[in-house]
Amino acid sequence: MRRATLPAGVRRGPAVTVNVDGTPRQAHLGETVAAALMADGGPAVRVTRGGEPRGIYCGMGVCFECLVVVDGVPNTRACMTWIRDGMDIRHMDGLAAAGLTKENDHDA
Amino acid sequence: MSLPRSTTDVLVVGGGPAGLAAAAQAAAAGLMVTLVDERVTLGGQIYKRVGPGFAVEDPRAIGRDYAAGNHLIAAVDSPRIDVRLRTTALAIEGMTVILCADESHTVAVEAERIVLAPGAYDRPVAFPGWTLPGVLTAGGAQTLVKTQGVLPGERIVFAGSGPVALAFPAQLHHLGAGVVTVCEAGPPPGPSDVAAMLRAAAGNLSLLRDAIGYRAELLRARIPLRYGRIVVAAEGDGRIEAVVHAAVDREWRVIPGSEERVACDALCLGYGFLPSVELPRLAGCALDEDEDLGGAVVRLDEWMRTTVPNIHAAGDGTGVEGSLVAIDEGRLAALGVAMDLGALTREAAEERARPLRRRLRQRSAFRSALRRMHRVGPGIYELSTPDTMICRCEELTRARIDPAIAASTDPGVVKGLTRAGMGLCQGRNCERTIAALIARRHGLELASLPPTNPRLPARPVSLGAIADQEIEDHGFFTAAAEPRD
Repeated sequence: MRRATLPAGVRRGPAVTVNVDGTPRQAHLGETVAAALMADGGPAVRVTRGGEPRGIYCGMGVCFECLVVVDGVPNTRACMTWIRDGMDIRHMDGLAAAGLTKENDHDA
Repeated sequence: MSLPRSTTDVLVVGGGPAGLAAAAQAAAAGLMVTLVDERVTLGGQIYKRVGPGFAVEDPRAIGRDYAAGNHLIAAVDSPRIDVRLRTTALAIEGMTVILCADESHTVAVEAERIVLAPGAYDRPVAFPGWTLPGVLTAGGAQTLVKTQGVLPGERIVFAGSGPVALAFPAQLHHLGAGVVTVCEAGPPPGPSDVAAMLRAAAGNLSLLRDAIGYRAELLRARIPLRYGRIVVAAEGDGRIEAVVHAAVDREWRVIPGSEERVACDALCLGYGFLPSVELPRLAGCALDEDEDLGGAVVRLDEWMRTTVPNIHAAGDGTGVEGSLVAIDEGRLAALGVAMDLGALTREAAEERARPLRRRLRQRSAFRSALRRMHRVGPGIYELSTPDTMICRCEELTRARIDPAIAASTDPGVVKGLTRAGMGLCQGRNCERTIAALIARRHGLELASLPPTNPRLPARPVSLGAIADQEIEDHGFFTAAAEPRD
């Protein structure tokens, strides 16, 4: 995975530092969280309650597969959220990110 | 519940090609317009803008689409048009639309006329491994590549059908991505197809020229273009590592023994699009069934009026025919609105509509010419195994849904029995697959099955956003916090 060469005449936004799972990483203003994660780590963004890996799928806000925790807010669509300087991004791991356990998850 | 309210002549829902064209045309006729879109920028999917912070120094560099988008977007910069971005339509009650703004609060807009232009999304295809990270829709991959300059992988397989199966791999290659194989489910163009395309070439030469150019680019790059093949499985541990593709017959049914495996790190799926009919359904608009246009399509008259009085609809959200058709349909809808509201005489509206209708007929003829090659075969819905995830959100495999399908021919009952379609995507990724499974199991026509009941809200929304902000606190909450003696 990498950032492609943009067509001549288009320039990427300024580089900023974000936190991904507690580690400082570089991203660019104007990228979605989905694009930044894809370029720096690949397409997998979360593990479902059932333990399945999921990634960026529709890229347009329809499928709700690319859910991540952004600045503490779980279930945030990575494809619909723009990178901000200093943003805290966490991959979602099943119920843990939402502060739920099997016992208090009424849907399970 | 008290909501901040406003009124407008015309409310246009959707800021893609159809909505932009409708808003501009209605404003040109002197009407006051409110245009809403859930995204941060206008343009819809096809004319999607680069992210804020990116600089476009030469719009021509990104291609004709981007320049065309600029044109449409500039046309809604008008004192008569109130553009509201990050604004999602949740519900329609009569001529009042409930909107959620900034994911934080709701407002109501009451309109004399409504134009629905909700657009479309990639047709979901359930096969073993389709939920693996690295499997993306063509639309999703295109967004990453075109507006973000990020490649979905180094070794990309593209599978799909239709013009996009030529266009997108060529664009990917152009940007330096490694495309290892392109699978087109349909047959290669034969002499009769070429003859049909030439007969319908009037007004469509640029589309033909594009297709020939993309085909040549793939040949030059030595990217294998495999006709009559479909992806039957994605494999990998934690993310995609290989795909299996196989030959299909004319109905897109797999020919056993024809499987081939190819290593890859991304799979892009472009089997056409489905119209987003949630809002037309909520409004009570009659729908028809046409698999080639994406399944459920909105029934419209010659002025793009739906069967619900005062509600018009246009673009791919009413039946998928592409951005050029969407623009003309949007204009036509606005002319109809302007005529109905008395802002244009019938003669003036007819005169402006005439060239639009002629172009729409030409596009329609061209689409018919491509039909033999790109018609969606029923085999597309028969690729799942018992272990295949059907409802991604509720994590339901086919084995979990099969008993309900055996028990009922009603998609609504299957939904109620299994929760399939009740997750965050609200059934948009599984409803049609499940309907096709029901049809096959019971020997019915897919088109004959009733859709499930539309549900509010049309998009997921937080409780905080719809809670009444001026609610009077009767002490329930303080009572819990400070127990009395």
